Amino acid sequence: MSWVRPRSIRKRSEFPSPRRYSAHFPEGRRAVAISSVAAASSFEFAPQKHCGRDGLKDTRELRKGDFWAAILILGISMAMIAVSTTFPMTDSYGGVQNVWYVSPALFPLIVGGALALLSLVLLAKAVSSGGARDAIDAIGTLSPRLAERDIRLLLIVTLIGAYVYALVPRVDFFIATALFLQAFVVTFYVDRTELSKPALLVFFAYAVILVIATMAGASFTRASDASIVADGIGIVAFVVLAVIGFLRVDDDELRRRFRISQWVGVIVPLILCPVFKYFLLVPLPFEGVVVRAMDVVRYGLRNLLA
Amino acid sequence: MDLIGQFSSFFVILGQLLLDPRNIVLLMLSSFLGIVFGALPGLTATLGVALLTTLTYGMPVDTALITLLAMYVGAVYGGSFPSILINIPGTAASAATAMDGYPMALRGEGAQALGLTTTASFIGTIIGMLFLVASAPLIADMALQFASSEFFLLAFFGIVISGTLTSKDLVYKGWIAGLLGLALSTIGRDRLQFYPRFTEGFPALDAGIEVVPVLIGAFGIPQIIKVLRDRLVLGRPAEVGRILPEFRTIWRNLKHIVRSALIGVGIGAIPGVGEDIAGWVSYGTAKNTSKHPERYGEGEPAGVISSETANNACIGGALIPLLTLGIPGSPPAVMLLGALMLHGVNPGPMITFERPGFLLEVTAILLLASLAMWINGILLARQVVKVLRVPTTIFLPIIAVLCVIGSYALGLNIINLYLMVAVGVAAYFLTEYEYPISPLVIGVILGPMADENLRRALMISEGSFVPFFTRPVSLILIAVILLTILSQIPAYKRWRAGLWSSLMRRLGWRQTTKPAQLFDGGEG
Repeated sequence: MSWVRPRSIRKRSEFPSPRRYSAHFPEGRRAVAISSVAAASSFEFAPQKHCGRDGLKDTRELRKGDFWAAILILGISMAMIAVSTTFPMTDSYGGVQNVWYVSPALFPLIVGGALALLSLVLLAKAVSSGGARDAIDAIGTLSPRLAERDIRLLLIVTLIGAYVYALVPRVDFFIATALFLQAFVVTFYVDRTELSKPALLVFFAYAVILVIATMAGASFTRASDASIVADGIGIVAFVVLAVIGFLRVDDDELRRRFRISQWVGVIVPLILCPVFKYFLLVPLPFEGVVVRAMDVVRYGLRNLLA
Repeated sequence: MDLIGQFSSFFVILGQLLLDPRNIVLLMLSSFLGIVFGALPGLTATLGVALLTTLTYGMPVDTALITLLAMYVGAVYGGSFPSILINIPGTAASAATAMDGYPMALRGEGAQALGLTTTASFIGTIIGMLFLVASAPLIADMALQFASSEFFLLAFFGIVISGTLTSKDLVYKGWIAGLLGLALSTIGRDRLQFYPRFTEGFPALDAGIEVVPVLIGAFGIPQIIKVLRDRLVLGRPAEVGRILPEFRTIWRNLKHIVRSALIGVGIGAIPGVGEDIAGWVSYGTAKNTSKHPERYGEGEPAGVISSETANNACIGGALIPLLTLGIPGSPPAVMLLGALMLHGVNPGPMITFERPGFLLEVTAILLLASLAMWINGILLARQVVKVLRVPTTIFLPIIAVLCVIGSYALGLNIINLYLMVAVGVAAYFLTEYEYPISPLVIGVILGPMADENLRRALMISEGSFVPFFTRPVSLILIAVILLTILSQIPAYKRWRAGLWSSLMRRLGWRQTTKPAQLFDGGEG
């Protein structure tokens, strides 16, 4: 874990020292010296939307989250206990007569039980501190407008999610990575709506099409027709986005940034793919047209040198 | 083996390691990579060691250990660069360094502060190493007497203590995190009867959850999300002049070095409590015991020295329980344990029999790693400063890609990738609500040990819990676990405080803060 300080805080005086830190621990929070020290090393030091001045989230906000977390953990632990009871307890499994103390259910039952107990303690704390009431009150007042920070959070998670769940298992690793980096770096580094909008739109549309195609029965296996078409669309999408971007940039600084973003998209997979495939002998998650082209080049070079 | 014999075999091992030029190249390279990794905010030693593990799969064990330990030592030290130069710690381990390092840089003493951290980190690592080599054989010998019940309790103790000490909000959030890790570890076929647990019919889950994708997800994804979400823009680091080892200042602060190193080793040896806490505790102790506490925070060299010595000494400390008991002392040590297992080395009390000389080998490698860190720090510091100018919005997406390929590369299993992202997003929300992550990963790695040993102990006693209470070591462990848990319960705290004050009144003493309160609930 590490923490960083957003630009908004400039003065050192706003930077809590470990001692001031523990002095500001609100009541009900564990004010143990060592944990206050640990808290001081937390990632988010800076007062943000929901943060108290000690850098931790506001206690009320935390207790509100605890209410939902407690219910979720209680659910998980109950499910864990329910499934564990179906494991062989005293009957035989694989020809072995079982006894309760060697049953595979023993440990999951203990862990599930302890989790259930702690989630109840958490729930009790959320109820007694008013967090539960806050959480229930907030249901009706959920605003559909997201803060910019939440939009960015959502974007990062969906970008990584689409890359891993939709692109990586279906598209050539080079193309998937290039498109992912293009969309990601343009959105966060170049940071201009007129450039990031088409990049994100194309990236997500591509991911959705891939998933729909899979559901419709297309098979994305090595060198299958569907995968060749998907790879082709991916390459075209990357090139078209790069061209559109260069046509839209108007000043030199923006052009420089956009150029860097496109280079990152090409160079990173160009280094990573051969390093993993040929030096570390790790096959890539999906080897489509570009990786196969790399194979041709590599073996051609080897034959030439031999 | 006698002391002289140990000494000579240590140098033989050292010589053998150095004879292979590939080892030296990899040592220097991974040490530099570690420093850069530590210096880039958002990238931690744990993630560095995890990503590098994927590259060491094909190497022999000693070469793999050289790269991983050099990375670990380098990354813990590297975090001090941005702490000092731009007041943003590269890793949580060097957060305390920023308190006095940055004011020193503002005064134009950035190079001097970096020189101090370089030499202090070097000495810290060496002292940690000395403790490792001195205490590990003793602990391993003692641990040979441990039976299954003790190992179950040790694993359980690791999770309880790690949860207790790393939790920032309510203490049971740390325990919940540990239990969630244990719950994850139960997925897959159980090791005693091979019964598929929670696999839901997916054969890919039969082998269980692998620790590498969990670690990469839990330590990589939340950092990427947080840094990019908050539009963090790093300040431009000032130019630094030539960096010198600052031996004179170090000599003047010898007492700080010794005390901080002891704190570092001690905290490192506690399961799952790592470099970040060592740095802060050591800094706090230096400040509280100083005659001039007001100078701290204004650019006091002793502050920089204290936190940096402690966080590096923590490495040796963290390796003690790792090598002797198979219980990692810090989050990066969790990854080291995973890496050692991949290479067929099973750390634990049997290590001295299974691989005689392994402890000395690790010690020799730790010495080389700290030397490489020191040389890189003195010679290449300016290149590291240049790395800090790369915008986070460019290197973090690249790290996301590395996380993906890194979690795939070890098992070549696409399920690991899906797991990595899911764990990463869950870890982000857990950290948002102040659940510590280290107990979770400790839980994942200690789960099988706890499970197997509990059942084995009960099998031997035919279902009776009596041996848990008749064996002295397990009795002590039970007492410590109970005390740790009780000390967090308000009713117990009130009762104990009442007992203390009545005792004090009776003895006619003035009540002062007890050092014990550091660990169990007093107002710090």
